[in-house]
Amino acid sequence: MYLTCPRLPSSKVCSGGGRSAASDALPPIPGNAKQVPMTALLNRQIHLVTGKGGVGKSLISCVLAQLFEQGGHKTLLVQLHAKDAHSQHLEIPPIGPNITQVRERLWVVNIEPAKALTEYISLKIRSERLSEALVNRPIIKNFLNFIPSLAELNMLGKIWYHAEERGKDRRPRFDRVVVDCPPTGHALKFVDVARTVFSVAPGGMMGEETRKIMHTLQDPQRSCLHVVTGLEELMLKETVELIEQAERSATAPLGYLICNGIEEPIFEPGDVQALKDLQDRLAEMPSGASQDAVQIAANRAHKELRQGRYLKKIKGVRSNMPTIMTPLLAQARLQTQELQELGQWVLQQTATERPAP
Amino acid sequence: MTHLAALIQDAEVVVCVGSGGVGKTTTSATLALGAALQGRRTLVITIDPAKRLADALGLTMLSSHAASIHEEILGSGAHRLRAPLYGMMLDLQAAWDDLVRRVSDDDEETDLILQNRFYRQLSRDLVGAQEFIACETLYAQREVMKPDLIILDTPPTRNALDFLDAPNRIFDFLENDAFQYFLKQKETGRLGRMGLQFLDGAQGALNVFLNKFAGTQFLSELSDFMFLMRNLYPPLVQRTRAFQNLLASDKTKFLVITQPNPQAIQEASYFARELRKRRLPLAGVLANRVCAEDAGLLAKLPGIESELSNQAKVSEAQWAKIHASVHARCSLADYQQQLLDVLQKELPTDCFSIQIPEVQSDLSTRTGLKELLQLQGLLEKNA
Repeated sequence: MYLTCPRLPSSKVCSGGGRSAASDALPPIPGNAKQVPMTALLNRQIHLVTGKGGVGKSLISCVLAQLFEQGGHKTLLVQLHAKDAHSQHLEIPPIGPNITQVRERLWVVNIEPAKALTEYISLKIRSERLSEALVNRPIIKNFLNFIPSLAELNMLGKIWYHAEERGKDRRPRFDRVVVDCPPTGHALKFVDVARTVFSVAPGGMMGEETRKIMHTLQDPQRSCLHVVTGLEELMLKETVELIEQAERSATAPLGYLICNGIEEPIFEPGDVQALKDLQDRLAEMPSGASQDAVQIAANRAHKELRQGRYLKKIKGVRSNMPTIMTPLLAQARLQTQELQELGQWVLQQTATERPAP
Repeated sequence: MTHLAALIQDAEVVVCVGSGGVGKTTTSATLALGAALQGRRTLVITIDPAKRLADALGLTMLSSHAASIHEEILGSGAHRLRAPLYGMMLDLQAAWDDLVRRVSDDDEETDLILQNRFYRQLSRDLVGAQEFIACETLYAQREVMKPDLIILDTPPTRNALDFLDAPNRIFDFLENDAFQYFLKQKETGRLGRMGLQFLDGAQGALNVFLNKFAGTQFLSELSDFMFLMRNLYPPLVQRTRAFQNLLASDKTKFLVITQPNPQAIQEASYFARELRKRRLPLAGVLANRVCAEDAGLLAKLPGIESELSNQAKVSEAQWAKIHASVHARCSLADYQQQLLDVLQKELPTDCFSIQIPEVQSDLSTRTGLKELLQLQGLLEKNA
């Protein structure tokens, strides 16, 4: 069947372009948190965004961060030792390893393992002289580089530290932390690193810290793991595998299944046959351009049909996971305005969800 | 003959690289099929844990040993494979275990290594471990199976360099001071079951810190592991040099896979530059899922509208939908072409660049595979 996603008045393709007209029709984003109908999942503090490479994790992470920020939440958007993709989306200068405030309620960082480690050790060893002496010794540096997964663990530790951090008013420094997880190998490897390390090294400071990180990530009041996917046969299989892994390892409670890059429905079920008939009629006429145009329409109608089928399938398999759909936007640049548009899709589709008891 | 057909006819090793989600695995599979159709004995190796290659090849499971792919996978007659085709999905752990067994000559020590918790975790999780073992396996299979062509599908890397630098990272790891430090501690008996022993001066402070930081059990296991690994180091280095030489030789060709979206294009041009810098043989760039439509169709829309409504009796509502889909598609095609033009300008002149249109049928089916092979120019349309 066809996609059951809400049809926003932003179907610019139908009106022949003109995004400005479409955005006028959207409800304005309130500047105050209390007015935004956030759902239980979106109310959690830590949002891990994962999925296979190329599905739009970075884009979705930015969409969520901007949504939270505009909802009045102090938001930290995290990249992990990545090729900075966020600065382009958010229209800000390149993002470095220091937490930087870029808007009233938005902070960004691209965590670098070596720097995170130095920060961590300075934090643990109160004596500044000692920590400097230690961190600067090549042997210690090498030792730390040597411990398997320590880089990942440290990045995770830094995220955890900032999620726990409180200001002078005793309120959390960040209401929301959005983490764009790296796509290397198993998408879960990064999130799961705390558990892996804990199983190898349950003792020492490292073990203790790791246990705390694990508990925070597993807390259904505070954390969730969103999975981003595209609506395509091969990708869906992998996504289902990924979700099953996440469930088995109980790394973090599952959040939304976000189907990104879907084509907004133009056609209806009967159109497939109608277009086929039209193609047959055109076959007798020598009209190349018209045939090309109708072929494009027929391909699109088929694709929409396929998308709907895949969606139904994945909803059947993952019935316990709420789904969000975000459309394919073929703009040269996906920037704040597009993030806003996508954010509206997220808001609309999450509005009906009941808050957890 | 198309560039791709020539590539799989001439090369002995083809390495497919590119950022995640651009169709590396599918492309590797169809290139392998194409080569087998041409009559070359071919092996395709993938590391993707998600069994995509198996899906693409219509197999339920590929094992960590080379599995023979049915000669009628594409059909009988002209679509029958003319040479044996093998597929192999790397099981990382099994591949590392194999390697340890191959290079170690002491059975007792081999068992100790294989059971060591550090070894088990490192072989899975150390950055570069996947890439390293992929190259190693490629080299080993070339010696054992002696196929005409091996196609290597590389794992999705966070950044292009991860793959190219994997061997160096393993060297760094083994040549790490800490490695040597622990060996010395172990040999001189300073590292016992209780972790690092207290010593005087700076050494003492260091040991106190390490014990406190990581725990005594952790340190003692780590040192056991490094002690066991010391004999494996020389043969590992030797094999690594050998496969690095193979990758840099004229028997090997790198194929950069991309897709017409800004990030993938950026990554592809970066990859092409880095390959060149390292003097690795770059054959070309292949862009998957390109909109093949002619953006010029947009200008013809008024004429199409009158033709469709007058001669084909298309209703206004129906036309609105057709118009919308053509508009969306052609705008996308135009945008993609701009991206691909940018990439084209950055490529060296001796490097080919190919655009493969989007496949309309499901790629996990025979029809889908055949459609893609035809689009790649590796299968005759009417065969």
